[in-house]
Amino acid sequence: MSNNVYSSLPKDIQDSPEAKNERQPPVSETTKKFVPNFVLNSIESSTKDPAKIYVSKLKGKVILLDNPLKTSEEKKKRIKLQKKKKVKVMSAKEKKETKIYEIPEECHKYDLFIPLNELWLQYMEELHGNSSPAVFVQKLLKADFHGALFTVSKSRCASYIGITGINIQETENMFKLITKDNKLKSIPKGHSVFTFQLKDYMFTLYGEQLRFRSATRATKKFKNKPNIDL
Amino acid sequence: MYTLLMAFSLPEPGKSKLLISKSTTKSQNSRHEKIILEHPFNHQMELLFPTVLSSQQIMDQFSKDPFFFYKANIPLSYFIDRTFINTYVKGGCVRALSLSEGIDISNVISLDESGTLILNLTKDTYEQLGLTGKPSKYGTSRQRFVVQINLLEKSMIPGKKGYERVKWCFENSLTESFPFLISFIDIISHESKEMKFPSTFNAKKLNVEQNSFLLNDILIPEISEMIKMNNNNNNNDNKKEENKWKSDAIEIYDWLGLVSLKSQRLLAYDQIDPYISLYSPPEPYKMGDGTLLRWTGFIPSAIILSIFKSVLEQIEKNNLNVPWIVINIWGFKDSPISWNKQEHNHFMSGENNYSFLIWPDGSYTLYQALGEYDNYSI
Repeated sequence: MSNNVYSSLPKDIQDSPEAKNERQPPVSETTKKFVPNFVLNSIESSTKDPAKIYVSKLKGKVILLDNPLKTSEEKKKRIKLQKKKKVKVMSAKEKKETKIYEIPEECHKYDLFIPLNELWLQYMEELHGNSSPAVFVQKLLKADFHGALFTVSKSRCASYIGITGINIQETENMFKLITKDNKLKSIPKGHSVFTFQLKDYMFTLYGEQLRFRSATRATKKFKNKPNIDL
Repeated sequence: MYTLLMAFSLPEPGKSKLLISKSTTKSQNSRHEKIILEHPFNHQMELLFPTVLSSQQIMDQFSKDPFFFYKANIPLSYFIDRTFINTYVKGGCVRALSLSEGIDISNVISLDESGTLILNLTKDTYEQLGLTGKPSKYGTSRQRFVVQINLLEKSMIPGKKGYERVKWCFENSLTESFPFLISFIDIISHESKEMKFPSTFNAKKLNVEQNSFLLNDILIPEISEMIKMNNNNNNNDNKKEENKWKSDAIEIYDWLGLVSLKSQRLLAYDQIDPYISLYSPPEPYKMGDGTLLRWTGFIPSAIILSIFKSVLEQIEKNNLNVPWIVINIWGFKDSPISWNKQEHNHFMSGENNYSFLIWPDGSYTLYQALGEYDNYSI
């Protein structure tokens, strides 16, 4: 549309008698002299040195992109609207009843989660980058483990040992692994040690140290704590 | 004060045990065969005769076919191999015991004659293994675990869930090879039989060493006097007499221990400062000579039983003209079981020894010495 604003009028209008009778608006002599120069000067000065303008006007300044509210009346209105829109949160009981966090049984299929694992491997590669092992370990501590292929290498409970599967859900105290024979195994993080492989490296996770929700783990400040006993 | 006492009420300190019993081989309820066969891991055996035996006599009567055993580095997956179970566990009597730094600090694995694989593991190993076991009864609580696998169970067949789990564990989590002593005995002929191992096991065939010692001019108590006294008093239930028998029996056991050590205190002409030792043998005693035969190695209990029987035969026929014969057997201190698959461990001493004192009429006194950490006598 914007291109059409300055395009010439259609020919039939140009040729119409009304158009021919049209006169140019009256302009005074002083304006005729002043305007072209002024316009040219102002355009030139702004295009002269954009860097200079950026330094003088923008650099280091906070600019609000949003359209701020000016009057208190408007504020009141918006607050009223927000109050009406308040999100309804499910209670823990409701979550339990509706089984919202439970993975339905028809989805307990290893093949379904292979793409998730591939995605996770990509994510790990990105996370690893060129970082040194010590830095990477710090990153791992806050990484997301959904999609990791975990193996339980040590556990206080003998029957957990040796379970291998893709981690599809992490809660505060559990890793839920889906095994190759399409079974969902819930493994407590406490008293267990998990390993996973990235390229040629084997990483060991002490579950006892990771007993947080994945969201809080990402922002938590970890302190050194010795691992005394499983 | 009272509360303090409550808080610090410690359990009673454990004690080493010596069990003394008497019976006769003629009795139907006699336990001598059971006692010998249920004690699987024997380190040393000794025969003591209160007389001089010529080397010819020894050769004739007690040197049978040499019995031998193997020392080999065996991974645990070898024991659950079907060919091993079929040829050795089912085809005879196989026993194995791993050598370690000690049962209180490291892993000990044993296979007894009934085909039960017993793994006495440290907590660290147990948490990696993946087989369910029970916490050990001894030591700090839940720091050792005992896993038992019966190789002759019906479920130990490839393809079954339990078998596959054991196999997975031995091939993936506990792949280490342990230095084992292993012996294989034919059930009928009671002879050691050859075993075949893959060359990677580094198997060495070892013979049970046999030594004999002559003990000249030692003081020998007349033990049969004591048992006779005791037999007479068996009828009236006199507690005093029983106590006397008990203390006599303990004194004899002390003396037997000194004989095994070939102690100088037993020499007839020993002159020791009474400040150092006041020992004198149980009375009545007289000067005499003795012969000690000693076998050292991994001695299968079936062979001990056959020697026991030949000794019994000799003394009943009175071929040797001796009033009594003693058989001493020392178990491995780091054995995970003592008698009858009862748990055994090492604390101050891991002793699990026994001795038979045999008389010509077939009666015997049995001594069983057990360390503090043993479940057999409880």
